[in-house]
Amino acid sequence: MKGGAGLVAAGAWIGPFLALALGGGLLQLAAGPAGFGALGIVIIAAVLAGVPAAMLASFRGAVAGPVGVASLAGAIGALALLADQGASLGLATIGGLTAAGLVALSVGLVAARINGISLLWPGIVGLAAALGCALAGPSGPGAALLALGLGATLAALPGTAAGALTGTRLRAGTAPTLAGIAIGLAVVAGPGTALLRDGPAAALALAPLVAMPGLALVATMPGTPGLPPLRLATLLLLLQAMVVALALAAESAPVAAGLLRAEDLPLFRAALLGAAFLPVFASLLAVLLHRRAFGRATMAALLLALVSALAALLEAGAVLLAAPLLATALAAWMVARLASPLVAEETP
Amino acid sequence: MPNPMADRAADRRVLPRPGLGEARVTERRQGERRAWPRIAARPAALKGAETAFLLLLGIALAESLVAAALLLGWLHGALLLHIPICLALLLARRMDPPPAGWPGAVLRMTMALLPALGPLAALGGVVAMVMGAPRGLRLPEGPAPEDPLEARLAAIAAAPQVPDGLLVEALGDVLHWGTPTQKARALEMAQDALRPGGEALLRVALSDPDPAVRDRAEQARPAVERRLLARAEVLRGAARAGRLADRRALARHLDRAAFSGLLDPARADACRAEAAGVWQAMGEAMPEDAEAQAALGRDLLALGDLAAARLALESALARGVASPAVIGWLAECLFRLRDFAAMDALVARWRPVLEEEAAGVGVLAAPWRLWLAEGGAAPAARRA
Repeated sequence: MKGGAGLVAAGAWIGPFLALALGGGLLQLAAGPAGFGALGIVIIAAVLAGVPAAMLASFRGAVAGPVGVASLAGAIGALALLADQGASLGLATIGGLTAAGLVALSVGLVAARINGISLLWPGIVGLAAALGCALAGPSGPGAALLALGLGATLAALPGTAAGALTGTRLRAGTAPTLAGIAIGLAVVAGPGTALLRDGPAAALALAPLVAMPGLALVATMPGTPGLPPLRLATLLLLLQAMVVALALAAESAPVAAGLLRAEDLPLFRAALLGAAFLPVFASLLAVLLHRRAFGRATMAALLLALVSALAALLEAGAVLLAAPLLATALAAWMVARLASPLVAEETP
Repeated sequence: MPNPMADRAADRRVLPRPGLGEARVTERRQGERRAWPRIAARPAALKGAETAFLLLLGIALAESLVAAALLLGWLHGALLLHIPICLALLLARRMDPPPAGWPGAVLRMTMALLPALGPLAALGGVVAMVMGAPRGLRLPEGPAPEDPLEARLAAIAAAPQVPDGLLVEALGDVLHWGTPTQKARALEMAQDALRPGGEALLRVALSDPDPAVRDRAEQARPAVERRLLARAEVLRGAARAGRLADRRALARHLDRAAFSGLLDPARADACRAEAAGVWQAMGEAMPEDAEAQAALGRDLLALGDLAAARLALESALARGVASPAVIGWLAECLFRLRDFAAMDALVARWRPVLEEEAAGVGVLAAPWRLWLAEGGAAPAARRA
């Protein structure tokens, strides 16, 4: 076991938020309130391509090949989606570059964690380059996206190179790849469907923000959650309950900030409540991944993706709340059905 | 089986005995030799890192053109430049030496990300190279070498207890087929004090066609010579007590040193003379000691005392030491005495053994094949 199951499972949700926050800041610097749609598409493509590659880095130790293929897939995906949305060729190309950079960053973070190195200095260099590019370059969403891609690439390369030092050959990466694709779909299914159908994308994209404390806790756990799964789930739920209570108290703040439409508020509330279960789901997913139950992890993630996409299509708050609940319940059931950890550790 | 005459000839060829007039020349030569750069065994990893660094620089330069095209708004031009660069990476897949160390890892990642990220990947690669390996990162050992000679060298280096025969054979292959670097590494192993079998390899290296290898072997030779002589001194001290086993060990070591081909010819002769004395004393004390008779005969043959050598070797053969080596020494002795009748009788007596020897790959196999093929007609012609 290479470690980093918690980082992959929770980082799949944390990464897009970090990219959204950084990209949004850069867009504000370079282009004013424009281009968020393009940023969302870039992040969706990066998540869908980056999580499977990160899974391979974590569970197979393979970095160079998967990250090359994934970055190319992310770039082409973002380019095609942006072109489909009517973006110019230049903006679509830059969007593709940015998606590839974000893919590299997600793999780089996992590889750095596995190799026990810090990406603090590369991160600072990347951030400085991104800020410099956004401030010094020509204005427009293209400049902001390019700045994000440049910063991500600069921050990613030391981590990915550290992973590539081992030179592991990829023999059979199907199961982790499928699990990674399913997790990526689970992350982007709701907001992605809403974005592509001009639905309440902002409500669905902002809601998982309340899950960040719990997800960060799962991501920073060494290797696998140290606590027994049920005790950890209880702890995470307690933590999330407090955060969600705070978020519900301040639910009108996004509307006041202009990030959310007032009519999307009920949906946002349901999504907030549902997102409280995300850390528990991520921790159970991490247990499944750590025990190499990739098939079960894929099933749980696919269930979340399907129900989330359905909720975004129906714009139904009840379904939106049910999606993480159902997926968490399924994951808990699967974890409970796993064999004893000692037996599972011994099987190759 | 070493041929003593050839050994001595080789000694004289490689190490001409310095006369009074030649001493200054020899000193000057040695001074020049010291001034020459030693063959440093540069690790393949270092060369791999250099290769990776240069390749990364090349990629960065090429991609800077793509970036310039992008900045000028020539999207199609940038794509036209970028695609050949990506295709050219396919040529760099099998590099010799393979990219190694931190630069190698950065190059691998840059190459993997280049198709998607283009100039950004090249810039990231250069920055990662400049920043160096992150603190706390343990650089792994390189993968197993694919070159069989490298693999052989690595295996021998890892195993201190390689049998002498296998050591000489394996390192001999490296000397025959290897690169100068590999030959230098083989010689380093051969002069290891813990690998006495390496002395035979040094003798081979003294006549290597590569002057650098010859020079290296010449540099190593005095140390090995000192080591052999020091060991003889230790054994001499032990043999003074008069125990038979100690005296036998001394005589064997003196023979080994004398016939190693690494000693100064005068010292080698002195060793042979001393060994002959010890063997003779042992033979007189124990007339049935066939080893003593055979070794005495070999030493006397090398010293040029052919009549005494013939007696000793015939005595050894009579005591049942009918090894091809002893027969060969006796045959050489008879040949140099020009006693062809006795030699024909010897060949007729030991023909089955000699035919077996001629069919092998030993040092004397070829001469024996020739001699046996001539049959009975040639001796008469020789006598005429």
